[in-house]
Amino acid sequence: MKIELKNISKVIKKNNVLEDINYTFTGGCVYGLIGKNGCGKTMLMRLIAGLIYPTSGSVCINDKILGKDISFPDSIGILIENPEFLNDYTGFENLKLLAGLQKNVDEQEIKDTLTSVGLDYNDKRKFYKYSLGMRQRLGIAAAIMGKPEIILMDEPINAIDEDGVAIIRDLIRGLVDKNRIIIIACHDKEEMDYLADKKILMSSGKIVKEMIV
Amino acid sequence: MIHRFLFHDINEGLIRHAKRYVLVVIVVVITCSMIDSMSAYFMDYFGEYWSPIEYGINEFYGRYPFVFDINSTDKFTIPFGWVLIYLFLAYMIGDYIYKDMNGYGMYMMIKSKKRWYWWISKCLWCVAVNVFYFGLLWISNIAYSWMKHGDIAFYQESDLRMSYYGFGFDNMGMPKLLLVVIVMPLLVGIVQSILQITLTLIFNSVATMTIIAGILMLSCYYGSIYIPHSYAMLIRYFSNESDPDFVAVDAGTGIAVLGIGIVAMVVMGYMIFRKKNVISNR
Repeated sequence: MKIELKNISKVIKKNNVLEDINYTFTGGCVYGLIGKNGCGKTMLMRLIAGLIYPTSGSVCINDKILGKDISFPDSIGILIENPEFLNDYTGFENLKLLAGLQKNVDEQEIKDTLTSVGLDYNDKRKFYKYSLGMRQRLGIAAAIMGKPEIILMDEPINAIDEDGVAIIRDLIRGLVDKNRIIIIACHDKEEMDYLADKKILMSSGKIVKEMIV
Repeated sequence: MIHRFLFHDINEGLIRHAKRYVLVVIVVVITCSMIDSMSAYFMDYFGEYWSPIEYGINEFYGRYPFVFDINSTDKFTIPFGWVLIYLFLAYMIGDYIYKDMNGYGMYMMIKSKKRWYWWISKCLWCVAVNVFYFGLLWISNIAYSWMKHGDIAFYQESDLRMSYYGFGFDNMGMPKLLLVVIVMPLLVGIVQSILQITLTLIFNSVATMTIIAGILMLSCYYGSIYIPHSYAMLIRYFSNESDPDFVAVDAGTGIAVLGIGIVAMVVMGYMIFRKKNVISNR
């Protein structure tokens, strides 16, 4: 598994939100994106996910160009900030609907995934009754369901209580695999030190430094 | 795969907002009450009353293109009920696709790995909304007719129509009349809705609604076989004695124009969406 960012720039409303980024992500590693608010972390993740396209440059996933050869990476899970699900569905039902779009996910895996993030798959509460922390956990479950080869998580421990943080932390570390790339954006420096194998410092839309933890 | 998207869209974009559709009933009550009140004298005189189809004729009667003449005292008037029907349809479509694109629909797109599914499903959802919307409109016409007159007879004698409109539409024949009053407004609605969701990919929902309202006004003012909404106005299928330059539209041409319009907009919308940033940078 390999993600290559080649001369990536993204201009939005005349602002350079990403500027001439060249970087290669390889499997078996957790990458941590760090930097101030607005430095381009989230934008970079959206770009890798195929949700936005670069103004110039290209994103190659295993040598396939995103937006040209493929619309989205073949195997990806994403957690965006404030994940949105269907309000009138339970967590299990929400994931079941998404699992229906994937070939390799059965009901047992949905249950296992919910349990792994600390949610009860038998919980009959609808999504609109979920607390912020539960919503976040469901977002993580949606991202890791089906064991994707690329996992992108934007602020995964947002709104999660202390016990939950420990669960999520162990879960993320447990997902590390030589064929899997995990990229995390997180403000919590201490958490990032624990989670990431490599930290990528971003500033003003550029990658300024790579640090091996 | 596509059925899962469509199931989601119908659930979230139609059934969830079912209460909004009460507006259709309100429009029907207003337009039917208005024609009843304006034709009360003729109804008493002939002992006839409007049938559900004739209420539909009134709703989709429309108007001829306006001919500006400085020497004339004619003023440009808008067919209020007709415009409301299509404006409310635009409201039903609203900004659902924008919200879905930035919410659960985004997850669905990523999981399915295809943008095409999402877009086709939205186009099919537009068709579903239109079928439901116009279906409800006709059901409301029937219900109004039954409650007001205790009768839902298909079509009444033409004396009332003759006196009210000046002609009875009899030369059109029932199958064509049904085509023009039931099928064509539905097709026009589908064209409008797919245009609206395509515009939503580019502009925000307020700008899109403004454009749709502008198109409706222009359609009332101008006439052309290339203006889709012309085909949703019954009167434009008849020549105009006071305007020899006016060319009446034809249902066959209308089906071709609207069909091509639908296909063109589905393709054009996909071309735009294929290159669109899914998380908006508005």
